Amino acid sequence: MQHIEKTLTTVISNTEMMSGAHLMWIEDPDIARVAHPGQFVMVRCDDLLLRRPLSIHRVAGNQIAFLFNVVGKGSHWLSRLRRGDTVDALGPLGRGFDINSTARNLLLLAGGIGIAPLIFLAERALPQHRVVLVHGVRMSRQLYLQPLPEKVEFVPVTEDGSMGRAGVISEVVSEFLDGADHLYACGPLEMYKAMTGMVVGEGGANKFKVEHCQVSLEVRMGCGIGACYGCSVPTRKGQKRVCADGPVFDLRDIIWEEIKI
Amino acid sequence: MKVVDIKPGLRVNLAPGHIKGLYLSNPVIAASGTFGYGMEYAELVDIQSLGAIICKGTTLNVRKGNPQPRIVETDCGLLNSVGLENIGVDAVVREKAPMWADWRVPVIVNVSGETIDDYIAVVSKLEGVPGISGIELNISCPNVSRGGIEFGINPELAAEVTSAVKAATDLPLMVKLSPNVSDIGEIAMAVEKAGAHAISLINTIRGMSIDVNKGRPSLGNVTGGLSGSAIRPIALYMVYEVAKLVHIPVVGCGGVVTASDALEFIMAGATAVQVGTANFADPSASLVVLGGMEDFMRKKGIKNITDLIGCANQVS
Repeated sequence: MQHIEKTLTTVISNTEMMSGAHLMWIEDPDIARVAHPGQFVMVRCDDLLLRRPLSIHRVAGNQIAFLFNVVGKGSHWLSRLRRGDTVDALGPLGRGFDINSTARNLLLLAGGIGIAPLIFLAERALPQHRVVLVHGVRMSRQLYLQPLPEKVEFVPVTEDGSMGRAGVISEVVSEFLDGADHLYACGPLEMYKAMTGMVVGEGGANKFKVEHCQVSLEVRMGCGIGACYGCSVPTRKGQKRVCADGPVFDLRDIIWEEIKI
Repeated sequence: MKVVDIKPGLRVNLAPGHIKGLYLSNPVIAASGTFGYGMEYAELVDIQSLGAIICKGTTLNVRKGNPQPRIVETDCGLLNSVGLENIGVDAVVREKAPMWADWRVPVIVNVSGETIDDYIAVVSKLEGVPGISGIELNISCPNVSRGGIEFGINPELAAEVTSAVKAATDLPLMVKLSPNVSDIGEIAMAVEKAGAHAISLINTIRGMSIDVNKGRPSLGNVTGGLSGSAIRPIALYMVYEVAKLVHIPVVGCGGVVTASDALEFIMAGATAVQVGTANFADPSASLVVLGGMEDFMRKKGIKNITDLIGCANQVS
């Protein structure tokens, strides 16, 4: 079993980075030391009853970063934190992405804020792998335009055509699938549902010869450590807890038609 | 003058009517459904210092539970409709009990069913299994379509399932009551008469919430059970009423977050308290409550927790 820490950490910086999304760095050596791409941290927000799960966006030295949309009470509170403020963080949690050492070409598909864990994955995978990162958003100001690791091949996709390719990820992805051994995705449920139609062909045959497709799920969580069963989803291997058995699953294991979030 | 710091007496017996009793080192219990099978928290908190752990609601067969979303936060509370997803009693006996047998903290198994025969079958499988210290009979789950709460809202059915289970087990038996009734005292007296060793209350209160952007209920199951601070005054009132009526230990549950909350329940007549939803915000919530209770007793010079039980009940 992995080691989980609950610590009071310090905010290093917190800035609006893309439209409606904040980038927050915190000092947390315990989490930074052991964190793996795809894992998350449960962060306490003010006196709200439930912690908020935030995926680990990047790790640098003793610091970890979160990239989150400001959408509700918890994320609003987080967005107002300033340098030196204290954050109660519990993590790292969950099972992250499996970076297969024999794969050569990795295709990373990010829908909106789903870019968050994929940057960490790209950084860890780069030395041994070729990484193509497709980021799909509604408009250009939601695109991830921070400096990326040098060798990442970044493909911006906007629904309004204001930058990069026009359309949604599922429309443009087929041209990148051919060269990919492994597919990693993080985005909304609709994106995954569209992907099942593309990646898994009739009778489960793999149309594009992608060996593995790992996706990161987001559902409301209670405890974050596998105790409350609030985040369970149906899979072909039985009910699985997103927080403890995931949040990363094989695309083909999830019974998508039974999930409405 | 030398001040001697005497550790306040915290030991309680939840089942004085049982031949062996059900002794806890302290009156703070982790509530069912919020603490998994205990080991989920083992790395984060010293679970062995808890008074007891009540495991996830357990049924005869594996249950998938309700569709997502299962959780929604409300003002000062939490609505859930997990729907008793659990691994089933056989897996509990095979995979969890052997681990519990090595623990100092007693583990009580929360048992649920759709029929009386279900309840009997589950407790029969738990009988004599090392690592299991007692049964909490769940006749109050609001999130399942059959069984559960049906037994908890009708005094005759509550009594019937209690006596049937009592006859099928030698373990200490606590019955968990639903607040979704018009007369909680009537149900409490019925299960006491039917042979329960203790009563725990309250389970969650049925409620709902609507996502106005989507124009549909927030929970996949439409309705859920409300827990957290929001329900504490209701729980406290019900504990107060029930403690006046019955002669078996009452365990208070509902929105305990701080030591002061726990002391309210004890003073209303509870022998012990359960900490549930608060574990999510702070996994060490139960131990913080326990530490605060000890501090309170030291400060007030109270030698034994039993001196506080029901003290607020004796005023009138």
